[in-house]
Amino acid sequence: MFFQDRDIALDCINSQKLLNNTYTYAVSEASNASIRNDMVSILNDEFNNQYMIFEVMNRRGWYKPFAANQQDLNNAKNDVNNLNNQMQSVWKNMSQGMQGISNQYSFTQTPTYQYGNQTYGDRPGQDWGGATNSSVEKAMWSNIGNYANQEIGSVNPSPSEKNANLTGSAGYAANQSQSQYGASQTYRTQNYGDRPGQDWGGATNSNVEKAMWSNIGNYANQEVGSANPSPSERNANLNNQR
Amino acid sequence: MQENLTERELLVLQDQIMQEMCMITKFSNYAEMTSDPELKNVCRQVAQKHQNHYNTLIRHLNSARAAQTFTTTQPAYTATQAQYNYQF
Repeated sequence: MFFQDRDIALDCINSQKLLNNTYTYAVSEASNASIRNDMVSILNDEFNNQYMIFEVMNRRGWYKPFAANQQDLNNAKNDVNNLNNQMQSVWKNMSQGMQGISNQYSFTQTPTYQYGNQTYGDRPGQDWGGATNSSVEKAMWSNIGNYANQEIGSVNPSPSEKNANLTGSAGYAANQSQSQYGASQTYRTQNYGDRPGQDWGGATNSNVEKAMWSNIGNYANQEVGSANPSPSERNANLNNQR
Repeated sequence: MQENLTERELLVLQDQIMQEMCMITKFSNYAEMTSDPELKNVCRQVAQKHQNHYNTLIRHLNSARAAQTFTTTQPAYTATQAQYNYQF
């Protein structure tokens, strides 16, 4: 068996790379602190070993990785930068929602409440049937009382109160881009981010809400029978479902 | 000091010892085989490093004992407040 120097170096660096992997696994699986510390420092050593061999090979011209294709590099830069721009605005909204400082009516911060097997947004109103005389709904009303007070000003506001609050808030409907509704656009299956009707202030004449109506129109048709049901229609449907 | 060892740590330790053993042999042999002085030097250094690692691992294995029952007390499952509130 005759190894040239190049073959020796190649085998050295390959086996060194494999050993790096097994030590990574060893570190991840260690629960004993002193073993883990030693494994980490050994792993560091192994990386250095591999780099020493790499340097020798590199000087000899034995290690020639392919250069990145310029076109692929440009494409990757574009893709990542575009995605990064999108994610920046997403993350901005997330941190606002978590801090709860601005955008009081943004859906991202809205907790949901479980009723039967349905999850609702926390804004009270017509879509629970507007009925506050059942004990179930009374219990729910009291539980969401605090939040509803923050949001709407009273636990069971009159429609005009609610309209005033909703239209008065800059962040609520007009500022939401349609894509932000995308995730919660199911109607009557929960999440009610985008429920039509009273919870939007009953106003279907703003462009934003019209667009949302048309987006959920198909689903609303299946469920309610028409894209813009009257309150009585809607109550009838909700009662059927209960 | 005696160290508590889990089953998986034992397996990993065994594996790594075997590999280091192999690496010591390999790099020592390569240091002899090669005619390139720089490569020879690197191989010697790396072999020495592996020897150190090997000794460390052996020391851990020898000072180890089986881990005591390795359990943590898990709090009993409790429904979240929300679930509690809305159980009708």
